[in-house]
Amino acid sequence: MIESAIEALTIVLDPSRLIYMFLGIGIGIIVGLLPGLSGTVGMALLLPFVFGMDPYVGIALLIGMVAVIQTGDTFPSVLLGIPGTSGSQATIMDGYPLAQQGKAAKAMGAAFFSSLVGGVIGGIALFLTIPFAEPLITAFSSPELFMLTMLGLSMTGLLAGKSVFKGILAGLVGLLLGAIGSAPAVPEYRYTFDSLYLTQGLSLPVVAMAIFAFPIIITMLTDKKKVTEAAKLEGGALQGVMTSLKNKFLMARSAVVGVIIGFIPGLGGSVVDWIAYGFGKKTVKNNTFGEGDIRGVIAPESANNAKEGGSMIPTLLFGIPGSGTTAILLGGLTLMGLEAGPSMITTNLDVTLSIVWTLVFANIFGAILCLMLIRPISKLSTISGELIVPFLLVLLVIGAYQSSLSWGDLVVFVLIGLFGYVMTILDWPRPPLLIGFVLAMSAERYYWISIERYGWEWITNPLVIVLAVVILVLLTGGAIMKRFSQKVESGGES
Amino acid sequence: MKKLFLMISIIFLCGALMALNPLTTNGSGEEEPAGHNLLTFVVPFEAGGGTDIFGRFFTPYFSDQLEGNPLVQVENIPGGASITGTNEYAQAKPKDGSHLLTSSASSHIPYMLDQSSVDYDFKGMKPIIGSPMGGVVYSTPEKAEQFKEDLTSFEEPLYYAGISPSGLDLVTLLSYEVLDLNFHGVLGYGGRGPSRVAFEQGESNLDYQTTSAYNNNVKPLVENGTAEPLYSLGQIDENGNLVRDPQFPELPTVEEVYIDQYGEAPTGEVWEAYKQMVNAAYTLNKVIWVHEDAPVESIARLQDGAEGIKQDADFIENAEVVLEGYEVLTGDALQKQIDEAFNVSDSSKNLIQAYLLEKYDLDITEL
Repeated sequence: MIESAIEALTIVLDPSRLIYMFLGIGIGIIVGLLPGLSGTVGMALLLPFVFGMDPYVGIALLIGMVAVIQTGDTFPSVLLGIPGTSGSQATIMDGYPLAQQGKAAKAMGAAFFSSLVGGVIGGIALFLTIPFAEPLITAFSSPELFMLTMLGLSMTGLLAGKSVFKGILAGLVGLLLGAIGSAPAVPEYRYTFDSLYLTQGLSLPVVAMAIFAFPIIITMLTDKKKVTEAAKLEGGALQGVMTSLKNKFLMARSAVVGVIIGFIPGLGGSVVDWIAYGFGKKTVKNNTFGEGDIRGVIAPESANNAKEGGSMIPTLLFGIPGSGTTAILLGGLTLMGLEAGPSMITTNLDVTLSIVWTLVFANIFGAILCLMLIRPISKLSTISGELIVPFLLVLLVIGAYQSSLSWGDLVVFVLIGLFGYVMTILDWPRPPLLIGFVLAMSAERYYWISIERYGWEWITNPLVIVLAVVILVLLTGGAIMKRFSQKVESGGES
Repeated sequence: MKKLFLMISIIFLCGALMALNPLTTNGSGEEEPAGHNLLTFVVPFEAGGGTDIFGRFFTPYFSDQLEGNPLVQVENIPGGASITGTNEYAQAKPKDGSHLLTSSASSHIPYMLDQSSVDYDFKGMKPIIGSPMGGVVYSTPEKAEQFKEDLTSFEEPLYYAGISPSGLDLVTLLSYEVLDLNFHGVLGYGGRGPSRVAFEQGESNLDYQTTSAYNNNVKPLVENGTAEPLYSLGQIDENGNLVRDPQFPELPTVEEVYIDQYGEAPTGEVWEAYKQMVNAAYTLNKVIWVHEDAPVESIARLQDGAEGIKQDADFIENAEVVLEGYEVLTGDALQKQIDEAFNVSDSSKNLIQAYLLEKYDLDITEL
């Protein structure tokens, strides 16, 4: 395998292919940077071009793009408090307060470096799990997947902020919103009011943009102020990189969380940043998560880049895409004459390995590029709100509309946006709503299948019990884990 | 600074698109006056799915083979499990022959069953090219052996992992009904990939996959002894008979399995309904259409082009991978097959509707 890896390296480093990787990186960063555009859009944009391409060239382009989206999307999350893609929502929690304190450059330095490390760990994880992928994937049958969705939902408690009650209620509202559309297991439509648009349910990018971006825009207009009140942008990116290095354990831990969540098919990678954030919050001592703690940026940023490596495993080896982006990637592979499946680790092993290398290189180059862009782009936060709002509004509306090219998206965007605004005024936490929304479908699906297939027998599966214990520990025993991490991470500080 | 931000983005994007452009023959994004120099394939799914790939695969060949070498672009209109886009094509797209529809079994089945959200009529469209797909039902080696000996001998039901009874699963479910197999359908999986993984985990022991997925992901299981094919869903020939799938000539059809087990040929309404559904969902798995009201010469140009594509050496070579080696249907043969498939008898329709209502509590006329 090492030999094949070196061979794949020479394929990837061929200058004619390298150009396409850089092209992919460029597009990926722009797509990440523009709020509302996500990996799915980038993929759809490139798909027409890969037809008939040499697979290595096409992969350099597509994977180069996918790898860095989660790096580029940090800019709007930190600078404007608007998620660049739905994968960097958790970065806002601490990134935006830091920007308000004038520490945007430091926050982004830390974020990009964590992205780099996370992405590389993701690539390595993909490489290392190739031999064990099959038993790992088959270990997660429906009951285990159901418990994992419960684990995700238990994060609502951690992210609830001051009032657990409000957090749980917001999570329930999210579950309700997620139930709109065709039910996963029984053939019926819910809350669609005879509209064909609603049969597919609300789309995640629209809801995520609406709930986070819309309120910020209104606030920008009503307050008429800049993001940064501080006259000067203090702190350099390098300082952020150093902070990340000090928190290496948090970075590595979050990357592992990202790989695992990305790897599990059917869970959807969209909550990976929240889960990493929640874990970080529970395990970092003396934290001020939510008020501008830089470790609250490091955890989700490391995890969301690592996720891509993890999510390639089920996509390539089993042909089960975990997200919209990987679903299109599968289509792209077909257009290049490849089929996902066991052949990706036998006859097409070199293609899989070239994906690993592309992930590693693209993450490194993408992060370096972003680090260079910090200086020009962070001045955005010094522009007055009124001036930047029209530009953002156009971007957001396009972003919402492109998700299914239906005017319904715009209506949903405004309605959910207003709801989000009310939530901010009343100081209700919004993350639990999003987690509930994302996990509603899978939670229902796997619960239904578990009961339909096994009755109640599945409750006693060993892995189910383990996951139940993990959930209980997370909800109650946070203190124990905190003490544990104090020993491990005595070097970490903000 | 905002300007800088914007400019960097635009320059980057333009540069990227320009660099990519010479590599492709389908000029998506280029704005030509609508009409015969620009053909649009409406795909009622998001980019990247099977139907989208099918449509995109054909674009360069339409461009090459059609008189005047038009530009061909793909327009994705996702939503409503393909019904939104198909409705929009039928209702709102220009009927001048410049817009074509790429339909698949997901639009064919609701149409045949009179699903209430369907607002399109394939009788008002002219088929240009049609492409078949196959399916194979498989089980574990032990169950397969028992199945071959006596398929009525299953005391415990076989667990079947499916997606939704009103989609492609319907054909497979009907095949079990024809055979009177003791099975328990667990529906609700997220796709055929997850349902196959459920089989590998032992969560189910009865599954089917379409041709490409079977070849790529199930054949290795058969080789290492953890899966065994039972039968192929078959294809419908020009005389309306169920025949063996050309990609799986060694596998029996449902009809042969029935004869082998019960000593007589299957008859009755369930059997007729099954054949009808195989025709509409598999033999005509994907079809490219144009409005019937389009000018005669533009329909003729498309049909001539389709004949040309069928003969194109490069197409034949690439179709081996993308279309799994099935031969495409064109011209009169395609028209005849479609007339046969979509003329569903009321008794078949009522039978399937009643079946879905009774077994899966699904009133399709209300969806």
